[in-house]
Amino acid sequence: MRSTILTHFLCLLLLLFFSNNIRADEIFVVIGKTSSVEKLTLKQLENIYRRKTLIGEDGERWNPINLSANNPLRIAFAQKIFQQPPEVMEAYWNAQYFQGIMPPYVVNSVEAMLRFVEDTPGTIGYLLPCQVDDRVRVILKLPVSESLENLCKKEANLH
Amino acid sequence: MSRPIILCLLLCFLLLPYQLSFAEHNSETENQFFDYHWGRGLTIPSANLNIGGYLQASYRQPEKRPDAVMLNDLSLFITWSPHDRLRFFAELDQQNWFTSYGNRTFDEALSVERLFVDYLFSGTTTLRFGKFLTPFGRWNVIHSAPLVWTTNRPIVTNDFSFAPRANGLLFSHTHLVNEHNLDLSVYLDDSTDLDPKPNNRIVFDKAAGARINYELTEELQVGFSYLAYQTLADLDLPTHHVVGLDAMWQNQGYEVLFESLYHTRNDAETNLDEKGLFIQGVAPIAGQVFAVGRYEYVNSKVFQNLTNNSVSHIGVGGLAWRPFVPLVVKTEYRFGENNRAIAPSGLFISIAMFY
Repeated sequence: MRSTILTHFLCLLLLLFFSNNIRADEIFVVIGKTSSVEKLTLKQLENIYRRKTLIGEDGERWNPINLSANNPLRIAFAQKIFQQPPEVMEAYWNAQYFQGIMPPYVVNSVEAMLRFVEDTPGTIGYLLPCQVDDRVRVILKLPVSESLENLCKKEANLH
Repeated sequence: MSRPIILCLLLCFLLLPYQLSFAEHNSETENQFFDYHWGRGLTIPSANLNIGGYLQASYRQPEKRPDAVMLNDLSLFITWSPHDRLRFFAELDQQNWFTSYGNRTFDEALSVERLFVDYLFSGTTTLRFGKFLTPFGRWNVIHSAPLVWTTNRPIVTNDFSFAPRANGLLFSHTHLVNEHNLDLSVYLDDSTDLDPKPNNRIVFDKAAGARINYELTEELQVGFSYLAYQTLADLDLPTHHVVGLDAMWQNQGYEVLFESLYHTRNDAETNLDEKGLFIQGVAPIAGQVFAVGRYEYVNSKVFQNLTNNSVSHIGVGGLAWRPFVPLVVKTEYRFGENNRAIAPSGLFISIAMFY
Protein backbone atom coordinates (compact mmCIF):
# COMPACT_ATOMS: atom_id res chain seq x y z
CA MET A 1 0.00 0.00 0.00
CA ARG A 2 2.78 2.39 1.06
CA SER A 3 4.79 1.57 -2.09
CA THR A 4 1.75 2.27 -4.31
CA ILE A 5 1.27 5.68 -2.72
CA LEU A 6 4.99 6.37 -3.11
CA THR A 7 4.87 5.33 -6.76
CA HIS A 8 1.88 7.62 -7.40
CA PHE A 9 3.63 10.46 -5.59
CA LEU A 10 6.79 9.98 -7.68
CA CYS A 11 4.73 9.85 -10.89
CA LEU A 12 3.02 13.07 -9.87
CA LEU A 13 6.39 14.70 -9.18
CA LEU A 14 7.72 13.55 -12.56
CA LEU A 15 4.60 14.83 -14.29
CA LEU A 16 4.95 18.20 -12.59
CA PHE A 17 8.66 18.30 -13.47
CA PHE A 18 8.07 17.56 -17.16
CA SER A 19 5.04 19.79 -17.46
CA ASN A 20 7.18 22.62 -16.11
CA ASN A 21 9.83 21.79 -18.70
CA ILE A 22 7.37 21.96 -21.60
CA ARG A 23 7.66 25.71 -21.65
CA ALA A 24 6.60 28.06 -24.42
CA ASP A 25 9.84 30.00 -24.11
CA GLU A 26 11.59 27.25 -26.01
CA ILE A 27 11.45 26.65 -29.73
CA PHE A 28 11.66 23.05 -30.90
CA VAL A 29 13.46 22.42 -34.18
CA VAL A 30 11.79 19.49 -35.92
CA ILE A 31 12.56 17.07 -38.75
CA GLY A 32 10.75 14.12 -40.32
CA LYS A 33 10.58 10.87 -38.39
CA THR A 34 12.42 8.99 -41.14
CA SER A 35 15.37 11.39 -41.20
CA SER A 36 18.74 9.86 -40.26
CA VAL A 37 20.02 13.10 -38.73
CA GLU A 38 20.75 12.58 -35.03
CA LYS A 39 21.76 16.04 -33.82
CA LEU A 40 22.50 19.58 -34.91
CA THR A 41 24.34 22.47 -33.32
CA LEU A 42 22.98 26.01 -33.36
CA LYS A 43 25.60 27.05 -35.93
CA GLN A 44 24.78 24.09 -38.19
CA LEU A 45 21.12 25.09 -37.97
CA GLU A 46 22.01 28.69 -38.84
CA ASN A 47 24.00 27.51 -41.87
CA ILE A 48 21.04 25.39 -43.03
CA TYR A 49 18.65 28.33 -42.66
CA ARG A 50 21.13 30.65 -44.41
CA ARG A 51 21.23 28.03 -47.22
CA LYS A 52 24.99 27.91 -46.74
CA THR A 53 24.71 24.18 -46.06
CA LEU A 54 22.59 22.76 -48.88
CA ILE A 55 22.81 19.02 -48.23
CA GLY A 56 23.08 16.82 -45.14
CA GLU A 57 25.70 14.23 -44.27
CA ASP A 58 23.65 11.57 -46.06
CA GLY A 59 23.67 13.68 -49.26
CA GLU A 60 19.98 14.53 -49.00
CA ARG A 61 18.97 18.11 -49.82
CA TRP A 62 18.11 20.22 -46.78
CA ASN A 63 14.76 21.90 -47.21
CA PRO A 64 14.38 24.51 -44.44
CA ILE A 65 10.94 26.08 -44.13
CA ASN A 66 9.76 29.23 -42.43
CA LEU A 67 6.54 30.64 -41.10
CA SER A 68 5.48 34.00 -42.56
CA ALA A 69 7.73 36.96 -41.77
CA ASN A 70 5.30 38.61 -39.32
CA ASN A 71 4.66 35.44 -37.30
CA PRO A 72 5.98 35.98 -33.72
CA LEU A 73 7.45 32.47 -33.69
CA ARG A 74 9.37 33.18 -36.95
CA ILE A 75 10.61 36.47 -35.49
CA ALA A 76 11.80 34.77 -32.28
CA PHE A 77 13.44 31.98 -34.30
CA ALA A 78 15.24 34.44 -36.62
CA GLN A 79 16.37 36.46 -33.64
CA LYS A 80 17.73 33.33 -32.01
CA ILE A 81 19.69 31.93 -34.95
CA PHE A 82 20.60 35.09 -36.92
CA GLN A 83 20.45 37.67 -34.09
CA GLN A 84 18.36 39.71 -36.55
CA PRO A 85 14.66 40.03 -37.41
CA PRO A 86 13.49 38.48 -40.71
CA GLU A 87 13.23 41.79 -42.59
CA VAL A 88 16.90 42.62 -41.95
CA MET A 89 17.84 39.27 -43.53
CA GLU A 90 16.43 40.39 -46.89
CA ALA A 91 19.72 42.10 -47.80
CA TYR A 92 21.41 38.76 -47.20
CA TRP A 93 18.88 37.00 -49.46
CA ASN A 94 19.51 39.57 -52.20
CA ALA A 95 23.19 38.63 -52.10
CA GLN A 96 22.33 34.92 -52.16
CA TYR A 97 19.96 35.42 -55.10
CA PHE A 98 22.94 36.78 -57.04
CA GLN A 99 24.65 33.44 -56.30
CA GLY A 100 21.58 31.49 -57.41
CA ILE A 101 20.52 30.54 -53.87
CA MET A 102 16.89 31.04 -52.88
CA PRO A 103 15.56 31.68 -49.34
CA PRO A 104 13.66 28.97 -47.46
CA TYR A 105 10.08 28.30 -48.47
CA VAL A 106 7.34 29.81 -46.37
CA VAL A 107 4.30 28.02 -45.01
CA ASN A 108 1.27 29.87 -43.73
CA SER A 109 0.41 27.80 -40.67
CA VAL A 110 1.75 25.49 -38.02
CA GLU A 111 -0.32 22.65 -39.49
CA ALA A 112 1.26 23.26 -42.91
CA MET A 113 4.69 23.14 -41.27
CA LEU A 114 3.87 19.84 -39.57
CA ARG A 115 2.61 18.33 -42.83
CA PHE A 116 5.53 19.64 -44.85
CA VAL A 117 8.08 18.24 -42.37
CA GLU A 118 6.27 14.91 -42.23
CA ASP A 119 5.83 14.48 -45.98
CA THR A 120 8.94 15.99 -47.58
CA PRO A 121 12.31 14.33 -46.93
CA GLY A 122 15.05 16.71 -45.80
CA THR A 123 12.58 19.29 -44.51
CA ILE A 124 13.38 21.06 -41.27
CA GLY A 125 11.08 23.41 -39.39
CA TYR A 126 10.39 24.85 -35.95
CA LEU A 127 7.45 24.80 -33.57
CA LEU A 128 6.49 25.61 -30.03
CA PRO A 129 6.44 22.69 -27.59
CA CYS A 130 2.64 22.81 -27.46
CA GLN A 131 2.47 22.47 -31.25
CA VAL A 132 4.68 19.40 -31.64
CA ASP A 133 2.97 16.06 -32.24
CA ASP A 134 4.04 12.54 -33.19
CA ARG A 135 4.34 13.32 -36.91
CA VAL A 136 7.73 14.96 -36.35
CA ARG A 137 10.92 14.46 -34.33
CA VAL A 138 12.50 17.16 -32.17
CA ILE A 139 16.19 17.52 -32.99
CA LEU A 140 17.12 20.70 -31.13
CA LYS A 141 15.58 22.81 -28.39
CA LEU A 142 16.29 26.52 -28.53
CA PRO A 143 15.70 28.55 -25.38
CA VAL A 144 14.45 32.01 -26.27
CA SER A 145 14.32 35.07 -24.07
CA GLU A 146 10.85 36.25 -25.05
CA SER A 147 7.70 34.55 -23.85
CA LEU A 148 5.69 32.83 -26.56
CA GLU A 149 3.10 31.33 -24.21
CA ASN A 150 0.36 33.49 -25.71
CA LEU A 151 0.81 31.72 -29.04
CA CYS A 152 0.03 28.40 -27.35
CA LYS A 153 -2.97 29.91 -25.60
CA LYS A 154 -4.27 31.36 -28.86
CA GLU A 155 -3.84 27.99 -30.50
CA ALA A 156 -5.67 26.28 -27.64
CA ASN A 157 -8.54 28.77 -27.92
CA LEU A 158 -8.79 28.15 -31.65
CA HIS A 159 -9.21 24.43 -31.01
CA MET B 1 14.11 45.58 -81.43
CA SER B 2 13.52 49.33 -81.46
CA ARG B 3 14.56 51.47 -78.57
CA PRO B 4 10.97 52.54 -77.58
CA ILE B 5 9.93 48.89 -77.24
CA ILE B 6 12.92 48.16 -75.05
CA LEU B 7 12.21 51.21 -72.92
CA CYS B 8 8.55 50.12 -72.56
CA LEU B 9 9.69 46.66 -71.45
CA LEU B 10 12.04 48.22 -68.92
CA LEU B 11 9.25 50.43 -67.64
CA CYS B 12 7.04 47.37 -67.22
CA PHE B 13 9.76 45.75 -65.12
CA LEU B 14 10.05 48.86 -63.00
CA LEU B 15 6.30 48.95 -62.44
CA LEU B 16 6.15 45.32 -61.40
CA PRO B 17 6.05 45.83 -57.61
CA TYR B 18 2.46 44.70 -57.44
CA GLN B 19 3.46 41.81 -55.25
CA LEU B 20 5.26 43.18 -52.24
CA SER B 21 5.66 39.81 -50.61
CA PHE B 22 8.51 39.42 -53.08
CA ALA B 23 10.95 37.96 -50.63
CA GLU B 24 8.92 35.00 -49.55
CA HIS B 25 8.55 31.83 -51.53
CA ASN B 26 5.32 30.39 -50.37
CA SER B 27 5.01 26.65 -50.21
CA GLU B 28 1.27 26.91 -50.77
CA THR B 29 2.26 27.62 -54.35
CA GLU B 30 4.20 24.36 -54.54
CA ASN B 31 1.39 22.82 -56.52
CA GLN B 32 1.55 25.56 -59.12
CA PHE B 33 3.63 25.02 -62.23
CA PHE B 34 5.52 28.24 -61.70
CA ASP B 35 5.81 30.96 -59.12
CA TYR B 36 7.07 34.52 -59.68
CA HIS B 37 8.22 36.86 -56.91
CA TRP B 38 9.65 40.28 -57.62
CA GLY B 39 13.33 40.20 -56.81
CA ARG B 40 13.44 36.41 -56.53
CA GLY B 41 12.69 35.46 -60.12
CA LEU B 42 10.51 32.83 -61.69
CA THR B 43 10.64 29.45 -60.01
CA ILE B 44 9.46 26.15 -61.44
CA PRO B 45 9.44 24.04 -58.26
CA SER B 46 8.89 20.71 -59.97
CA ALA B 47 12.08 21.21 -62.01
CA ASN B 48 14.14 22.91 -59.28
CA LEU B 49 14.63 25.72 -61.80
CA ASN B 50 14.82 29.46 -61.18
CA ILE B 51 15.11 32.19 -63.78
CA GLY B 52 15.81 35.76 -62.69
CA GLY B 53 18.28 38.57 -63.07
CA TYR B 54 18.82 42.26 -62.62
CA LEU B 55 19.12 45.48 -64.53
CA GLN B 56 20.83 48.80 -64.05
CA ALA B 57 20.31 52.10 -65.89
CA SER B 58 22.34 55.21 -65.15
CA TYR B 59 22.85 58.87 -65.90
CA ARG B 60 26.49 60.00 -65.81
CA GLN B 61 27.74 63.56 -65.79
CA PRO B 62 31.54 63.35 -65.54
CA GLU B 63 33.40 66.66 -65.55
CA LYS B 64 34.91 67.70 -68.90
CA ARG B 65 33.32 64.72 -70.62
CA PRO B 66 29.96 64.31 -72.36
CA ASP B 67 26.95 63.33 -70.28
CA ALA B 68 25.60 59.84 -70.86
CA VAL B 69 22.44 57.85 -70.24
CA MET B 70 22.83 54.12 -70.51
CA LEU B 71 21.39 50.72 -69.84
CA ASN B 72 24.46 49.31 -68.13
CA ASP B 73 23.25 45.81 -67.42
CA LEU B 74 20.36 43.59 -68.37
CA SER B 75 21.32 40.35 -66.75
CA LEU B 76 19.71 36.92 -66.75
CA PHE B 77 20.33 34.20 -64.13
CA ILE B 78 19.41 30.56 -64.64
CA THR B 79 19.76 28.18 -61.69
CA TRP B 80 18.93 24.51 -62.03
CA SER B 81 19.39 21.70 -59.49
CA PRO B 82 18.61 18.44 -61.27
CA HIS B 83 20.01 16.39 -58.37
CA ASP B 84 20.61 16.97 -54.64
CA ARG B 85 24.37 17.17 -55.27
CA LEU B 86 24.35 19.05 -58.60
CA ARG B 87 23.66 22.70 -59.29
CA PHE B 88 24.01 24.54 -62.60
CA PHE B 89 24.21 28.31 -62.76
CA ALA B 90 24.45 30.70 -65.72
CA GLU B 91 24.50 34.48 -65.90
CA LEU B 92 24.20 36.18 -69.27
CA ASP B 93 24.53 39.94 -69.39
CA GLN B 94 23.77 42.58 -71.99
CA GLN B 95 26.37 45.24 -71.11
CA ASN B 96 25.90 48.85 -72.23
CA TRP B 97 23.40 47.69 -74.85
CA PHE B 98 21.78 51.10 -75.21
CA THR B 99 23.63 54.32 -74.52
CA SER B 100 23.03 57.93 -75.47
CA TYR B 101 26.23 57.86 -77.54
CA GLY B 102 25.29 54.79 -79.56
CA ASN B 103 23.88 51.31 -79.31
CA ARG B 104 25.56 47.95 -79.57
CA THR B 105 24.07 44.98 -81.35
CA PHE B 106 22.68 42.12 -79.25
CA ASP B 107 25.74 39.98 -80.00
CA GLU B 108 28.21 42.77 -79.28
CA ALA B 109 26.62 43.52 -75.92
CA LEU B 110 26.13 39.91 -74.85
CA SER B 111 28.62 38.46 -72.41
CA VAL B 112 28.67 35.22 -70.47
CA GLU B 113 29.40 36.48 -66.97
CA ARG B 114 29.23 33.13 -65.22
CA LEU B 115 28.59 29.57 -66.32
CA PHE B 116 29.35 26.75 -63.92
CA VAL B 117 28.28 23.51 -62.36
CA ASP B 118 28.65 22.80 -58.64
CA TYR B 119 29.10 19.30 -57.27
CA LEU B 120 28.27 19.19 -53.56
CA PHE B 121 30.53 16.62 -51.92
CA SER B 122 28.89 17.40 -48.60
CA GLY B 123 27.08 20.23 -46.86
CA THR B 124 30.40 21.99 -46.37
CA THR B 125 32.48 21.03 -49.43
CA THR B 126 31.79 21.96 -53.05
CA LEU B 127 33.68 21.59 -56.30
CA ARG B 128 32.83 24.10 -59.04
CA PHE B 129 33.78 23.81 -62.70
CA GLY B 130 33.26 26.54 -65.27
CA LYS B 131 33.42 30.32 -65.43
CA PHE B 132 33.02 32.07 -62.09
CA LEU B 133 33.78 35.38 -60.38
CA THR B 134 37.37 35.38 -59.16
CA PRO B 135 37.15 34.94 -55.38
CA PHE B 136 39.50 37.82 -54.56
CA GLY B 137 38.29 40.35 -52.00
CA ARG B 138 34.63 41.05 -51.33
CA TRP B 139 33.35 43.48 -53.96
CA ASN B 140 34.21 41.33 -56.95
CA VAL B 141 31.97 38.44 -55.94
CA ILE B 142 28.95 40.60 -55.06
CA HIS B 143 29.45 43.35 -57.64
CA SER B 144 25.91 43.43 -59.08
CA ALA B 145 24.30 46.87 -59.08
CA PRO B 146 21.33 46.08 -56.76
CA LEU B 147 23.73 44.76 -54.09
CA VAL B 148 26.31 47.52 -53.95
CA TRP B 149 25.87 51.02 -52.56
CA THR B 150 27.42 53.11 -55.33
CA THR B 151 26.98 53.42 -59.11
CA ASN B 152 30.75 53.27 -59.65
CA ARG B 153 32.97 50.43 -58.53
CA PRO B 154 36.16 51.17 -56.62
CA ILE B 155 39.03 51.16 -59.12
CA VAL B 156 40.93 48.47 -57.21
CA THR B 157 38.08 46.01 -57.74
CA ASN B 158 37.55 46.76 -61.41
CA ASP B 159 39.96 44.86 -63.65
CA PHE B 160 42.80 46.64 -61.84
CA SER B 161 45.25 43.92 -60.81
CA PHE B 162 43.45 40.70 -61.71
CA ALA B 163 40.79 39.37 -64.06
CA PRO B 164 37.35 39.58 -62.41
CA ARG B 165 36.36 36.21 -63.86
CA ALA B 166 38.23 32.93 -63.85
CA ASN B 167 37.68 29.71 -65.78
CA GLY B 168 38.50 26.36 -64.27
CA LEU B 169 38.06 24.57 -60.98
CA LEU B 170 37.09 26.08 -57.64
CA PHE B 171 37.15 24.03 -54.44
CA SER B 172 35.25 25.52 -51.48
CA HIS B 173 35.10 24.26 -47.93
CA THR B 174 33.52 25.68 -44.80
CA HIS B 175 34.92 24.67 -41.44
CA LEU B 176 33.45 25.57 -38.08
CA VAL B 177 36.01 27.13 -35.74
CA ASN B 178 34.67 28.08 -32.31
CA GLU B 179 31.15 27.98 -33.83
CA HIS B 180 32.15 30.55 -36.48
CA ASN B 181 32.45 29.83 -40.21
CA LEU B 182 35.92 29.64 -41.72
CA ASP B 183 35.51 29.60 -45.52
CA LEU B 184 38.35 28.37 -47.68
CA SER B 185 38.45 28.61 -51.49
CA VAL B 186 41.19 27.28 -53.76
CA TYR B 187 41.02 27.67 -57.52
CA LEU B 188 42.89 26.84 -60.71
CA ASP B 189 42.33 28.74 -63.94
CA ASP B 190 42.93 27.88 -67.57
CA SER B 191 41.11 30.71 -69.30
CA THR B 192 42.96 30.40 -72.58
CA ASP B 193 41.53 26.94 -73.20
CA LEU B 194 38.15 27.38 -71.52
CA ASP B 195 36.86 30.86 -72.41
CA PRO B 196 36.34 31.54 -76.11
CA LYS B 197 35.03 35.09 -75.54
CA PRO B 198 36.79 36.71 -72.57
CA ASN B 199 35.26 39.98 -71.43
CA ASN B 200 37.96 41.32 -69.11
CA ARG B 201 40.69 43.91 -69.60
CA ILE B 202 43.08 41.50 -67.94
CA VAL B 203 42.67 37.94 -69.21
CA PHE B 204 44.31 35.10 -67.35
CA ASP B 205 46.25 32.57 -69.33
CA LYS B 206 46.81 30.37 -66.28
CA ALA B 207 46.13 31.28 -62.68
CA ALA B 208 45.99 29.77 -59.22
CA GLY B 209 44.62 31.38 -56.09
CA ALA B 210 43.20 30.92 -52.63
CA ARG B 211 40.97 32.84 -50.27
CA ILE B 212 40.19 32.52 -46.58
CA ASN B 213 37.29 34.28 -44.90
CA TYR B 214 36.59 34.07 -41.18
CA GLU B 215 33.60 35.31 -39.18
CA LEU B 216 35.25 36.83 -36.13
CA THR B 217 31.84 37.73 -34.75
CA GLU B 218 28.30 37.83 -36.14
CA GLU B 219 29.02 41.40 -37.30
CA LEU B 220 32.66 41.24 -38.39
CA GLN B 221 34.32 39.17 -41.11
CA VAL B 222 37.92 39.30 -42.29
CA GLY B 223 39.40 37.85 -45.45
CA PHE B 224 42.76 37.18 -47.05
CA SER B 225 43.24 36.50 -50.78
CA TYR B 226 46.22 35.39 -52.82
CA LEU B 227 46.50 34.98 -56.56
CA ALA B 228 49.32 34.09 -58.96
CA TYR B 229 48.76 34.39 -62.69
CA GLN B 230 50.09 34.89 -66.17
CA THR B 231 48.26 36.69 -68.94
CA LEU B 232 48.26 36.03 -72.66
CA ALA B 233 49.79 39.46 -73.18
CA ASP B 234 52.95 38.72 -71.20
CA LEU B 235 53.52 34.98 -71.36
CA ASP B 236 57.29 35.41 -71.46
CA LEU B 237 57.39 37.52 -68.33
CA PRO B 238 57.49 36.23 -64.76
CA THR B 239 54.35 35.42 -62.84
CA HIS B 240 52.13 38.10 -61.30
CA HIS B 241 51.41 37.87 -57.57
CA VAL B 242 48.51 39.65 -55.90
CA VAL B 243 47.69 39.61 -52.20
CA GLY B 244 44.67 41.21 -50.60
CA LEU B 245 43.28 41.86 -47.16
CA ASP B 246 39.66 42.78 -46.55
CA ALA B 247 37.11 43.17 -43.78
CA MET B 248 33.42 43.89 -43.44
CA TRP B 249 31.45 45.00 -40.40
CA GLN B 250 27.65 45.21 -40.45
CA ASN B 251 25.32 46.10 -37.63
CA GLN B 252 21.75 47.44 -37.63
CA GLY B 253 21.99 49.06 -41.08
CA TYR B 254 25.49 50.43 -40.55
CA GLU B 255 28.27 48.96 -42.64
CA VAL B 256 32.02 49.42 -43.05
CA LEU B 257 33.81 47.70 -45.91
CA PHE B 258 37.58 47.70 -46.36
CA GLU B 259 39.66 46.14 -49.12
CA SER B 260 43.32 46.43 -49.97
CA LEU B 261 45.62 44.73 -52.44
CA TYR B 262 49.25 44.61 -53.46
CA HIS B 263 50.31 43.46 -56.92
CA THR B 264 53.85 42.66 -57.96
CA ARG B 265 55.84 40.58 -60.41
CA ASN B 266 59.10 38.97 -59.41
CA ASP B 267 61.40 40.65 -61.92
CA ALA B 268 63.47 43.78 -61.58
CA GLU B 269 62.95 44.99 -65.16
CA THR B 270 59.26 45.75 -65.16
CA ASN B 271 59.33 46.93 -61.56
CA LEU B 272 55.58 46.43 -61.27
CA ASP B 273 54.57 47.56 -57.83
CA GLU B 274 50.87 48.31 -57.68
CA LYS B 275 48.80 48.90 -54.58
CA GLY B 276 45.41 50.18 -53.69
CA LEU B 277 42.81 50.24 -50.97
CA PHE B 278 39.38 51.61 -50.22
CA ILE B 279 37.24 52.04 -47.16
CA GLN B 280 33.50 52.59 -47.46
CA GLY B 281 30.97 53.47 -44.80
CA VAL B 282 27.17 53.24 -44.93
CA ALA B 283 24.76 54.72 -42.39
CA PRO B 284 20.95 54.77 -42.34
CA ILE B 285 19.57 58.33 -42.35
CA ALA B 286 15.80 58.03 -42.48
CA GLY B 287 13.52 55.21 -43.53
CA GLN B 288 15.23 53.35 -46.30
CA VAL B 289 17.63 56.16 -47.22
CA PHE B 290 21.32 55.56 -46.54
CA ALA B 291 24.34 57.84 -46.66
CA VAL B 292 27.40 56.38 -48.35
CA GLY B 293 30.98 57.61 -48.24
CA ARG B 294 34.13 56.09 -49.68
CA TYR B 295 37.80 56.92 -49.83
CA GLU B 296 40.10 55.15 -52.25
CA TYR B 297 43.87 55.21 -52.70
CA VAL B 298 45.45 53.90 -55.89
CA ASN B 299 49.16 53.68 -56.63
CA SER B 300 49.85 52.17 -60.04
CA LYS B 301 52.58 52.68 -62.61
CA VAL B 302 50.13 51.39 -65.23
CA PHE B 303 48.04 54.52 -64.66
CA GLN B 304 51.08 56.80 -64.56
CA ASN B 305 50.95 57.27 -68.34
CA LEU B 306 47.37 58.46 -68.04
CA THR B 307 47.63 60.55 -64.92
CA ASN B 308 51.26 61.81 -64.88
CA ASN B 309 51.44 60.58 -61.34
CA SER B 310 51.16 57.06 -60.06
CA VAL B 311 49.16 58.06 -56.98
CA SER B 312 45.44 58.92 -57.11
CA HIS B 313 43.02 59.74 -54.31
CA ILE B 314 39.33 59.24 -55.03
CA GLY B 315 36.40 60.16 -52.84
CA VAL B 316 32.70 59.32 -53.25
CA GLY B 317 29.80 60.77 -51.29
CA GLY B 318 26.21 59.88 -51.98
CA LEU B 319 22.81 58.60 -51.03
CA ALA B 320 21.10 55.29 -51.69
CA TRP B 321 17.34 54.79 -51.36
CA ARG B 322 15.97 51.27 -51.07
CA PRO B 323 12.16 51.67 -51.16
CA PHE B 324 11.73 47.94 -51.74
CA VAL B 325 14.10 45.06 -51.07
CA PRO B 326 15.03 44.37 -54.73
CA LEU B 327 15.19 48.04 -55.82
CA VAL B 328 17.79 50.73 -55.19
CA VAL B 329 18.14 54.29 -56.46
CA LYS B 330 21.60 55.80 -56.03
CA THR B 331 23.06 59.23 -56.47
CA GLU B 332 26.66 60.10 -55.81
CA TYR B 333 29.31 62.69 -56.42
CA ARG B 334 32.83 61.51 -57.15
CA PHE B 335 35.84 63.75 -56.65
CA GLY B 336 39.54 63.36 -56.08
CA GLU B 337 43.11 64.23 -56.81
CA ASN B 338 44.85 63.06 -59.94
CA ASN B 339 41.78 61.04 -60.78
CA ARG B 340 40.54 62.51 -64.05
CA ALA B 341 41.78 59.76 -66.37
CA ILE B 342 40.85 56.75 -64.26
CA ALA B 343 37.81 57.88 -62.25
CA PRO B 344 36.65 61.33 -63.35
CA SER B 345 34.91 63.60 -60.88
CA GLY B 346 31.22 64.17 -61.48
CA LEU B 347 27.63 63.30 -60.71
CA PHE B 348 26.33 59.76 -61.15
CA ILE B 349 22.74 58.60 -60.74
CA SER B 350 21.44 55.08 -61.25
CA ILE B 351 18.52 52.77 -60.66
CA ALA B 352 19.03 49.05 -60.24
CA MET B 353 16.81 46.15 -59.35
CA PHE B 354 16.56 42.42 -59.23
CA TYR B 355 13.56 41.08 -61.12
